Amino acid sequence: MPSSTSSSDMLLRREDGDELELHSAAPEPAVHDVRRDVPSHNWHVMAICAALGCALMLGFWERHVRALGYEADYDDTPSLWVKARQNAVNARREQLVLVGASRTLFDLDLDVLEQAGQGPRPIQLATVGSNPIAVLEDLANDPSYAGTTLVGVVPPLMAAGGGPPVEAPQRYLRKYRDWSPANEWELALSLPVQRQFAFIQQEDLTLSQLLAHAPVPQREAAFAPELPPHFSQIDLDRRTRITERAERDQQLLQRIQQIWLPLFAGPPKPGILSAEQWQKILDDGWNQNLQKAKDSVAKIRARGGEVFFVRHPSSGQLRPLEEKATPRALVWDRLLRETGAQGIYYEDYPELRDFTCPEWSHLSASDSVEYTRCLSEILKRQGWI
Amino acid sequence: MVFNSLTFVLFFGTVLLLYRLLPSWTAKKGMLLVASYVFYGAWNPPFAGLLALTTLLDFWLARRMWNSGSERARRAYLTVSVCANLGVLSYFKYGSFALESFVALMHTLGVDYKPAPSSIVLPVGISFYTFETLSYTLDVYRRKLKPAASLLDFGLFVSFFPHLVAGPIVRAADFLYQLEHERFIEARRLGWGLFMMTLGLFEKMVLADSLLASSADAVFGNPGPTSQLDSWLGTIAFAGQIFCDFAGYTTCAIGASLCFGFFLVDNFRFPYAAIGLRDFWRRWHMSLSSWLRDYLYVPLGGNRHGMRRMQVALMITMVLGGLWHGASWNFVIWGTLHGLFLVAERALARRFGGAAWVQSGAGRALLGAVTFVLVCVAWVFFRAKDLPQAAMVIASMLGAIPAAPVLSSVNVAQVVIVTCCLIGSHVLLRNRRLEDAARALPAPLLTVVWSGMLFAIVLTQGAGDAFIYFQF
Repeated sequence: MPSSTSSSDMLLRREDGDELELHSAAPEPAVHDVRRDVPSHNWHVMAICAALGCALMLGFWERHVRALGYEADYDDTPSLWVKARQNAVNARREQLVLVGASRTLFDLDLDVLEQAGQGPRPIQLATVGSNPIAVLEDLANDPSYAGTTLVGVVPPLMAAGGGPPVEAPQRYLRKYRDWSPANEWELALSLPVQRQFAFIQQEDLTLSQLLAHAPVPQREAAFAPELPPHFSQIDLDRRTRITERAERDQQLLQRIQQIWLPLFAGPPKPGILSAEQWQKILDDGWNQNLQKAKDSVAKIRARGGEVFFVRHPSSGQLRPLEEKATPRALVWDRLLRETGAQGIYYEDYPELRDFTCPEWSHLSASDSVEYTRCLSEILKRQGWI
Repeated sequence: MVFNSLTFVLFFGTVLLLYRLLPSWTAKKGMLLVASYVFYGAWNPPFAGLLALTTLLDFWLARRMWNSGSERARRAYLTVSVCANLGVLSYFKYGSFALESFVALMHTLGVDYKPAPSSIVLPVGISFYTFETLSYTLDVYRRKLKPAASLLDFGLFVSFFPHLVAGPIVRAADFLYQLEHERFIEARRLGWGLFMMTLGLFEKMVLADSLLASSADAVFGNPGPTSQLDSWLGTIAFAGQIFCDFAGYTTCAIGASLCFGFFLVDNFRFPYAAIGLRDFWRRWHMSLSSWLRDYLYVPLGGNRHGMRRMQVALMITMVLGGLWHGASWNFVIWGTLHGLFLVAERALARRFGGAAWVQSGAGRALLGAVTFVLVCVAWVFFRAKDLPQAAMVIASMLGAIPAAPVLSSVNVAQVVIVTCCLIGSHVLLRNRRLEDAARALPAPLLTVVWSGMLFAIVLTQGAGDAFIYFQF
């Protein structure tokens, strides 16, 4: 927006009319005047009124979103992830580090794992909707890292060679690489604010999210799969749980179930490609992921660390859909075979196989504690932690 | 530190309070200098050292230049300044690009050259402060400007936090004289400054980031082609996004300076109401275009040596102006396109400039629309990640590649509504200033608008997304 004068090309008089001290032989330089005028309003009174008006609107908005069931909690931001990632620097073998997607976030309880293991509190590095390879590679390329890495495997995400699952963790890793003092201060200031206000909630309640969910007819061809609404809470250690409200709300759970189905059905084939060409792209992506996983496991092991893979439960219609899109033999078995790592597939263990996910993809808060207890027993039995 | 962060709110409030409390002008300037280095160092502390070195060198060289009676010595000092400034800029900004281009050339010649991976990190705002210090030494050399009275004054001119990282590119002549006498915080200036800061943040966080960025990203982030309509909408969304982002930053910068009693030059004057590309460049990033005019175009001969020489000077200026934005062939093409548009416009103006239809309302509206379309076409090269993508988007805009739409109905509505409002406001205010518009509106209405903008800014819950021009 322009404002007032800008006169780099206009030589005007000096603002206060003082004489410049003349230098020996030098000519008197001209001085530009860039003075700006102020519109004649009572600006300080207007500022106070505007601030009060904004505070009033925010008060109403806060009341409204609380009435809808939202509560004040933390946002799962890249900055929060960076703090966890920084804790993984110099990790030794006894340090358990969790990598994966939302199932690793929701299904594993850090308290139970901490009590079960022999090392410090586990570090949660899983990120929602992501392929874990990028974070695994980041750890593998960190020469200080030699921790025990538990990688959660969601087969359709693990096999994805591109698109949102691969791009999602990059945002977190970029933030980690570019971390600055300003980021540190911003996180310290924003956490207390997030804890105070329910309307600060980046999944559903940002201006762009509110507009995106406006009830308007969708352009058919531009249809993109819907993402689930906010239904979880995260703490400062990034331990995530389905909220009690969501667990009670059967309608919401059913809605989320139906959201998973198109998301896990895999990316649609672009019209300009033949079926063979598309399949080759998918295969190449998976093969590249396998190679990266293999290299990362080797690097971490070479420094004395270890990597294990875990396949967490899924339920309902989602389970056969995942198996159809990414069969166990093609993804899980091949992953273990080619990386040489060991793993736990929940269906292979009687104590894990009977857990049911209320919205088909994640365990309830109470089940996650029990599931983690059973899982940690197996980890201890195998001597992995 | 970015303007759209809680950290900046705390920082700005603290600096304002200290500025109000400190007793002497020297202490206030010293505090502003320290605060500016904290502001800059909060990104990457070592780069504050680079800024300090540049400042010290140019301060010293300018003094030597001014005091020297020998033309040869003065020229030598200027050469050192120009080489040092452009050398540092080239190393950080163009080092990787030069290496990549060299490797590509070797591959073309059949040589498999693999250099070590480049790890150069670009210091934020280096292009802005380099041009500021360069203009200072050039002006002192030309005896158009006296050297700064003290290192404190010069250091504050270079590092003053509102304009440090994304302009406007302040000339020493526009700023140093303001440091000679104490600047006070005045209630009216403070209020108007805060209003401008709110307006700037509204442009950046609400219009650019929340309403336009997703559409531009959807089209330019799509791996394949998009439908003709979506390609145009994505490009128009980017045109709006980059204006709101950059103009938003400079509006914030001007407002923040005004709170302390300092004046900065304008950087934008409703550019999407421009009639012709020449008019566009008098309204878009004015501090850069006037810099290029004064220190590049005019020394190259400008329009004083005939048509051919003027065309060459214009093309060189615009190509280098493109390269100023970043080290990539996309920016070279963007600058070249603007150069070609300007050359063609001058030729057409000589042929048709006097025609009655050109002066008519309909004619001017048509020329304004053509200008906007040409600017948008050039933006494709600015936004695309590489040349193949730019070519694909252009082909999609021409309807040469049939493809499916990618924008949702809400995206389409957002782009159409925001663009219409943006262009409408530019046309309405084309020959006016923001101050005139604010003066004409009743105070209660302005207060309601101010409240609404604040509320919308909080609703965006901006996660401190950086301004686009920080990367330049």
